Amino acid sequence: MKLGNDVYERRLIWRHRIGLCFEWLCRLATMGALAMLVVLMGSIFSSALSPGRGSGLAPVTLTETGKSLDTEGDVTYTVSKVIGGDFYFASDPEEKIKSFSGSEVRGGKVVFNHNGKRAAPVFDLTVSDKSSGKEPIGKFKGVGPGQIPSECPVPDVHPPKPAKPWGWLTLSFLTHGNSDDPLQAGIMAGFWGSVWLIGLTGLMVVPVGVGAALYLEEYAKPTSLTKFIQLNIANLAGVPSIVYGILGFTVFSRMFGAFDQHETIVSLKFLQGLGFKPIDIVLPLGPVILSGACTLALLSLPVVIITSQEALRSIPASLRHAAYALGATKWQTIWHQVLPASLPGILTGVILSLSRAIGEAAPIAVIGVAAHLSYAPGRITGISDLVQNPDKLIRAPFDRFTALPTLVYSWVNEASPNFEHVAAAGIIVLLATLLMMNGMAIFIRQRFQQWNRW
Amino acid sequence: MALVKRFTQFVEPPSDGSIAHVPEVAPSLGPPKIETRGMSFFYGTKQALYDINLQIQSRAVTALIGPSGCGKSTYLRSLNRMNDIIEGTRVTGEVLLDGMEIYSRDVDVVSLRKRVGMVFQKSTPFPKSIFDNIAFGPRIAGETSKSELQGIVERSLKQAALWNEVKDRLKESAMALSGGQQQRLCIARALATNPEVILMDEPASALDPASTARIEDLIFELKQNYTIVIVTHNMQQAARISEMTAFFCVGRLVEIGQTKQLFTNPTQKETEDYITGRFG
Repeated sequence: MKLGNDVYERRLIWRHRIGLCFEWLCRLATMGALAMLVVLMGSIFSSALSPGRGSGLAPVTLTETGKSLDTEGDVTYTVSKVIGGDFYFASDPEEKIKSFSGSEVRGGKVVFNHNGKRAAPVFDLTVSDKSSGKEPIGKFKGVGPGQIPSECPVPDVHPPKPAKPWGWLTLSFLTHGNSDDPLQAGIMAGFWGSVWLIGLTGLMVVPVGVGAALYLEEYAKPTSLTKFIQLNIANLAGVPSIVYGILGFTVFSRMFGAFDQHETIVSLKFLQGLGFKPIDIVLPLGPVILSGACTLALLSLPVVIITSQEALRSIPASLRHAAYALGATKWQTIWHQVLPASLPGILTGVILSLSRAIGEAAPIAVIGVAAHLSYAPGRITGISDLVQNPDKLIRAPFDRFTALPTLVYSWVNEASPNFEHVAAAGIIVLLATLLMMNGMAIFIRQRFQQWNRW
Repeated sequence: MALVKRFTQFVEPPSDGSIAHVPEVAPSLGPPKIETRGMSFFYGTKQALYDINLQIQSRAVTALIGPSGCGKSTYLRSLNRMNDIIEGTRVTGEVLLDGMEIYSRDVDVVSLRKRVGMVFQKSTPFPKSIFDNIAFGPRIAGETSKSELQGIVERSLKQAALWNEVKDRLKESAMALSGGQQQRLCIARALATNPEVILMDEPASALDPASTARIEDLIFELKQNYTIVIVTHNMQQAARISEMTAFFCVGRLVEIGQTKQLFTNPTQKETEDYITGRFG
């Protein structure tokens, strides 16, 4: 077919326009993702750094300040406009009042209930002399400390003190256990619980996952059984995490109910020979770190296996052949060449799945982990404590614990005010922990990757 | 039409099972280093080599030439049992290294490959440092002494004419070397295990003329101490560097002879057609 010059040119122009359109769509999508990230981080940080509602929620008893006026008796205050709270008689906190006398203020009968939404309440008052009937003496606007005209006795309402003037992400938040009081609640127990949890999960997942991937990729013959296993691993990667939670609850936490009738105590006496105190393990394990870690290990195993297989598959056959040609055995080839070369890819999978595991609240909650815990696993209080009692390291995996997402979830669910700020601070700690973990893994990956260039 | 007729004469195996032309056995320069007798090779049910009888002389370069898919690479890889890696391959006949059958049950493949090193068409440095690349072979053979390894690395790199270029950056990634340097590194790596035979599968086909010339010079040096078998598509290269040349076609060894004689006065019509560029 022969195209006219103009037709051809029009096609070229349209091709160019469509290309531009796609470029801008992609750019928009990227900017949208970026904006979402900014909004997310902004809302979390603003909540965590906000001072929170202070003691102003408690009724403030009014006092009269300023010079006493030349009045013949009592004065009457009439409220025309009020923002940030209401006046009440202390005896009846249900009914708002619009008018009260100076003697009632002096007698402590009038209170101001701050609604907690504004730092300083604002109201317009008209002051009038009651006995002389001369009115009004004056009108006042925008009452707050420092703004009160000094020649008139005016009810003085202090702005509520902020609960945490420096935000909620404080040192005491990081070093204290959980508490019912939002001002006292801290994340220490959850942080160390998550560190133990993810450490043990990694210890279990990496050797098993990489080993399984090595077997499936390097050794297993492609029989129908291997294909079946492969398919099932891929399916397991998509199973909702709560299902793993129920599995972990039955298998690790309750141990199929085998010990329901009589708790069994296993004494690790051999530790005495190693110079430790003997440790008693109660079966069933219950909601301890080990059962949580086993559950999370099962959860992240499929992803680790699949990504490790991908990484092993991406190693060119020429690398293997080169190693074989130098007289390497199959195991030497895998151990010295294939595995180091595929390590960056394997690590990526491990990071991805462990990052998912550390943020999982559902399976941990199903196992029965409590949020209200004020000590780190194994009751380890510090490095000096650990040096003195090294057996706590072995005790910790069998200790009850709480984790970062569990804490955040429980704080979000708390009814009492100010817990939303605690939750926001908790989320920041969770994100920081994740970033730290990923940073470490990326650093390791970079170190190995610098050799790989094909 | 004539060409097709000539071609089919190789494609169809002769009905009586014997080969049509008994290749002229090379003039003997002593006992052969490698000898194959009536060797056939199968990928599953597909036969790739038919009844190869070939003697490879010690301390000489033997070039294997022939059109693509003729089985010369398969033949080369079967000399150090690299084909074992591929599932479902099978060898019949005899492959003798110094008179020892390498496909017999009691031969250790790993130690065989240490005696018969190999260099591939695509340079395949390991993603490690230059030093670790060379030291890999000796290390897996059990060499642990640091000074010994350093000696081996230096000797191998010098033999491969790479020492002067890389002696200051042995700890750097081998992936940063140029293509020609990478190929010489692979030769050095093969030399590090102290082999007796070096198999080269088109070692210079992906390199520029300057790098190719360096590799050829290197082969010329190496043949004084090693037996070299080289597969090449470049007939000028075969003529330049080899003492003996074998011409393969469609899984058969058509002709083997001294290089000069094979290129100037081939006994087989097919050889002549191939080297004069009329087919293949």
